[in-house]
Amino acid sequence: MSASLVTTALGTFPSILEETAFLFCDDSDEVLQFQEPPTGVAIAYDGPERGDLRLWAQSGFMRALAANMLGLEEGDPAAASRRVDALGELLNIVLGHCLTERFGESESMRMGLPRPLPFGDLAIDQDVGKWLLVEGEPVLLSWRMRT
Amino acid sequence: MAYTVLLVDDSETIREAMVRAFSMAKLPMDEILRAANGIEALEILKTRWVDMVLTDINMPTMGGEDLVRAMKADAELSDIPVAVLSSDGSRGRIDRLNEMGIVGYLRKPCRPEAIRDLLHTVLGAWT
Repeated sequence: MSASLVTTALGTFPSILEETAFLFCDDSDEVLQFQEPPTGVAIAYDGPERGDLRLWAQSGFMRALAANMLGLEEGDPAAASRRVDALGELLNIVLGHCLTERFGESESMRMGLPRPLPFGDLAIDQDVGKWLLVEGEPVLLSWRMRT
Repeated sequence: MAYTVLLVDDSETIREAMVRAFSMAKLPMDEILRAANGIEALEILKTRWVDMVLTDINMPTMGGEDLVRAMKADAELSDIPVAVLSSDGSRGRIDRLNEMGIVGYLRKPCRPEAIRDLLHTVLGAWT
């Protein structure tokens, strides 16, 4: 992923998150840390360039995301059971908008399906990814180029 | 007259969020059927009367574009209005779907009001 798509992804995420789940990003240039083992999802894309967009988050963020998308209370068991699905769908929407912004509407792009990431991938993603702070919860947005 | 709508999306979260949006439309709904991909949708369409299909594009097994193509090639299904709800914004795909005869294309994320307006346009016109 080129530097400009990184910028696009970081720029797209807050507005998509706000519109999808009414959650808000705080400005943070700090390197954050997860306080618990996070969940990671990735979606592959293919077009003028190939790669993965990857998203890591803790359970608190995921529960809030699912609850707000579904109009439920955060403690509702239904929100907890759909938290991984909600994280994948958020990444799907972010990536769709990133690709259009980066490559234009006329470019033919293909997107894969959300897939869970092995915990072992976190170390590399932390090195190359960018942190976002969403209502006090750390979220890591990362990427991998594929050839 | 109450309507039956088929929602096709591999995300359970999106399917349930759409059901909420449908309830805001205040159209007389008989039933909201759900499928996780195009194959499941075609199975339902073989056995159930459906007034409208709202489908995602990017799904496992059979995606939305293939679902629309299959419906338009089937004389018994070709008249059912199909709208698309997707995060994909590529013009080529939207043009192909429009040429196949979809009645609307909404880009995720979309507000419940946009869902309501689409339902009113497609189904409300029949009341």
